[in-house]
Amino acid sequence: MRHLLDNDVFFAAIYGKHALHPVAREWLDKAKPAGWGVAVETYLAAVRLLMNPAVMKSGHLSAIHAIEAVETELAGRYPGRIVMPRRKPDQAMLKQATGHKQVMDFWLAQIAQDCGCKLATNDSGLAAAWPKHVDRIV
Amino acid sequence: MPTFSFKTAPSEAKSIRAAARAKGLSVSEYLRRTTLPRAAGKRLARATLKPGRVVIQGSADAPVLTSADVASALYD
Repeated sequence: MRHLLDNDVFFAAIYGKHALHPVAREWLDKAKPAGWGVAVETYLAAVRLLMNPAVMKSGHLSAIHAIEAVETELAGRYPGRIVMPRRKPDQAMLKQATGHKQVMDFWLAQIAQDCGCKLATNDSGLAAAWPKHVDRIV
Repeated sequence: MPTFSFKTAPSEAKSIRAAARAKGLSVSEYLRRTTLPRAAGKRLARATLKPGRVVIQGSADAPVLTSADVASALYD
C-alpha cells in the first residue's frame, strides 16, 4: 500500500460538491493501482459527513446508504484497505500539534508511517510538518 | 427550533413511548421518522455507484464545500 488518504481527500473524491472533487477524484483513480487505503477513522468520518444534514442539506444519507457509498468506493479492481492503528498515539508526534484540528491529521500521519506508506492530503501545513510521511495531492 | 405539544390518551402515550423505546429512539425522533420518513436520510439518488468509483453529486440545495468546511463539520 502506497497511500493512506486523509479525511478530506477521501471525502472530496466521493462527493461532487467538494471544491477539490475533480482533483481528488483524478488523483485517487491514478493512485489506486499502487495500493491505497483509509484509516478506520477516515471511513467513519466519511459516513458521518454523508449523514450530516448540515453538510449534505436535503441530500444527507441514511447510515445504510452512507456505508454503501464508502464500501463501494473501497471495492472494485483496486480495493482499498481499512487500516486499524497498530499502536497508541505517539505523544512526541501529537505534542507538535498547534491546534485542535491538527490532532486527527497528525494521528493519521502516524498510522501512515506505521503502515510504511504516505498520508495523502491537501493540507499544506501537514505536508510541511511531516514531509517524510505525507504527500500533498494538489 | 419549533416545539410541538399535543394531547393524547394515557394508553396512546404509553404505546408511543414503548414503540420509540423498542427502536432505540427518543419519542421526538420516533415521531419525526414515522411522520417524515425522509428525515431519516435519503437514498443515493444522484450518484454514480460503481465498485471502486463513487461520485455523489449532492443535492441542489447543498453548497460547494471547502476543506475548511469539512474540518469544521468533523472537529468543531
